[in-house]
Parts: sequence; structure tokens; C-alpha cells
Amino acid sequence: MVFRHLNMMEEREILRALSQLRKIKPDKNWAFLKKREILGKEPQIFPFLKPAYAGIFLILILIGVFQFSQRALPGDLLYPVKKFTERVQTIFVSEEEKPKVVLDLTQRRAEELAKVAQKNEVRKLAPAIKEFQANALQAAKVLVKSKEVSKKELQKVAATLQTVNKVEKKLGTEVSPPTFDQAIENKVKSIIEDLEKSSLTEKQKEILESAKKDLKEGEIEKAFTKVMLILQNENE
Amino acid sequence: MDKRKQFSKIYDKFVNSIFRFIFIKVNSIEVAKDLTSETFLRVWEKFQNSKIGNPKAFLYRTARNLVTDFYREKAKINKTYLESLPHLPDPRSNLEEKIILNEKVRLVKNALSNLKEDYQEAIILRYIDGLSFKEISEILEKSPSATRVLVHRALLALKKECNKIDGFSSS
Repeated sequence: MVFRHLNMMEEREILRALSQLRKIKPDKNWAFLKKREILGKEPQIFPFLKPAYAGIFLILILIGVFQFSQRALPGDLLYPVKKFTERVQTIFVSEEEKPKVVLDLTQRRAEELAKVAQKNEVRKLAPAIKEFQANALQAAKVLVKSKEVSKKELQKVAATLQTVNKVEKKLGTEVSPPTFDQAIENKVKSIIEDLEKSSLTEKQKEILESAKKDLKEGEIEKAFTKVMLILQNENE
Repeated sequence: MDKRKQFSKIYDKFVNSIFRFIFIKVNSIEVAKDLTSETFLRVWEKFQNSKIGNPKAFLYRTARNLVTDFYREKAKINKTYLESLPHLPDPRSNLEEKIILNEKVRLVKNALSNLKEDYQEAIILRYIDGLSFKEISEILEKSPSATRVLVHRALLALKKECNKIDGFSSS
């Protein structure tokens, strides 16, 4: 009986001691921080709606729109954005570089016109022609004003002329403004005069004569291509 | 109520008992923190994707498995770890938990550490966490009658272990 009593006391003491172990608890701060870490931040279906991300999101949208607009053709919704970015780019261009930019843009407008004509997008044709003509007039001014136009730039003009001629053949109508054609013709004449003064090989002389003939016959593109060929050979 | 809020409540309700359950088994605050955190993380992942009928039992079962994995890994690294550590109380435990364990409580805790794993679990769940036999049986995945037998044997084993320690029954 005594032993049983002692045994009972012992069990009670053990249970009391065990209940004391209930006091074991983790640090409150740790538990709080860990919960936040585990559960993470509140999920958001549109996380970009948070003010902190709004700026970044807006920038990304703008970059996306600007990049996408670069493929736009006249008459497209994003075409004004493309024109705007081009205008912004020209602001930071020096006076010396401006003729180059004008000729670049004219070539770009001719390529856009060619795409519209190729796809037969009637709705976009009129704005595409208008855009090209506006740039071609500026290009004509550059060709008239600038006495020294680099061979690289002349190549761009030649490429533009080729593109426009293809478009005109496809459409069966003139799209290039006469001022632009005239400016190119004058430039070709001027190049021919310069080449006549310089020493040429027999082969080059032959090409030059052919170019002169083309020019007389009104084949400006052919004449231009030929003089460009001589100019390229001069470099080599 | 969304799942995050539901789980937040579950966390608040059981974080102490899960930490305690693990701590008594591993005898290290840092390990107990890591395993508690891992337990809740795993249950949270499961909770998000499927329905958990009894989160309490699921938490304890996850904690048990993680403790088992922990010892298995430790055994691989150092086979003597299990033999040398359980008798050593964590030097920081008193400071961090602010528990003034009197000598008797300390002795019972050490005696508990010497019991085999399922006896330890039975004692912790029944006499420290105060769970019913039904709840314990769900956690240990045993029948309620087998659980009663286990708890009874575990207590006898604890008494025997305590009697081995000098001075316990002299108070």
C-alpha cells in the first residue's frame, strides 16, 4: 500500500513536471517573422497595380508600344508613335548629321510604301504615298544644298530610287515628286561631270558613257546605278 | 475566408505545440526552429493545392517525418551524434525560452529524451500537449486501442527512466 502510494505520488510528480514543459515556446518575434516568410506577401492577380510597380509597368508598356510601333505602316494606329520617336531622335542629331537622317527617313518611307503596295493595302496607300512625298521633298533639298554627299548616302538615295521605281511599276502611276527626281538627276549630272575630270580606266569610261546615254534617255535610275558602280570601283 | 487567412490561424494555433514537439525530440533550439519552419512550409504548400481534413494531425505527422529525416541524415554524417547529443540540454534554451526549469522538470525532460521515439511522442502528445487518444491515434496512425496501450507503456517507461535518476522520488 505504501509502495503504491509512493508510486502514485511519483506519477503525479512526473505529470506535473511534464505539464511544466508546456512552457516551452519559440521566440514570439521569430514565430511572427517566420509566418510572414512562409505565407509570403499577399498574392495579387495584378501585382503591377501596386504603386511601387506602376512606374516600372508603365515604362515597360511604353517600351513595348515604341518597339511595336516601329513595324507600323502609314495608316496604322501606331504609326504616329513611330513618327514621334523619329522626330525625337532627330532632335538630338547635329546639323552635320541631319542630311544623313533625312535620306535615311526617305529610304524608310519608300520601303513602307513598297510594303503597302506589295500587300495591296488600298486603305494605307494614300497615306504611305503622302508620307514618302513629304520626306522626298526634304531629301531633294538636302541633295541640292549639300555639295558633298558621301557615297554611302548616295547609295541610300539610289536604293530609294530603285524601290520607288518598283512601286511605280506595280501601281502604274507616278509617286515620286518631280522635285525629288530633278534633284537626283542634277546630282547624277554633277557626279558625271566630276568623273569626267578624274582619271578612269577604260572599263570605267565605258560605263560612264553608258550612264550619260541613259541620262539623256531619261533613265535616271540606270544612270545613277552606273555612276555609283564607278564610284565604288574608285574606292577599291 | 481565403486559404492564406485560414492557414494563418492554423499557424498561430499550432506553432507553439509543433515547435515544442520537435524541440523535445531534437534538443536544439536552432534545429527545432528549422524543422518547425519546414513543417509549416510543407503543410502550407499542401494546404494551397488540396484540402487537408485534419490540419493538426497533418502538422504533427509532417513534423514527425522531418525529425526522422533529420536523425537519419545526422546518422549518415556522424553515427555517434544520436548517442552523444540527446543528454546534453541546449545551453541557450533557458535564455531563449525564458523557462526556469526546476531540477525535477529537467530530470523528467532528460528521462523523456532517453525513451524510444514512439514512447516520446506518446508522452508529448498526451501529457504535454494534452491531446485525446483519438487525436493521438490519428497522428501516430494507430488504432485508438493501440494508442492507449502505447501511452500506458510510455508512461511506465518514463517512470522507470526517472527512477534511474538519483533523487527524483525523494522529494
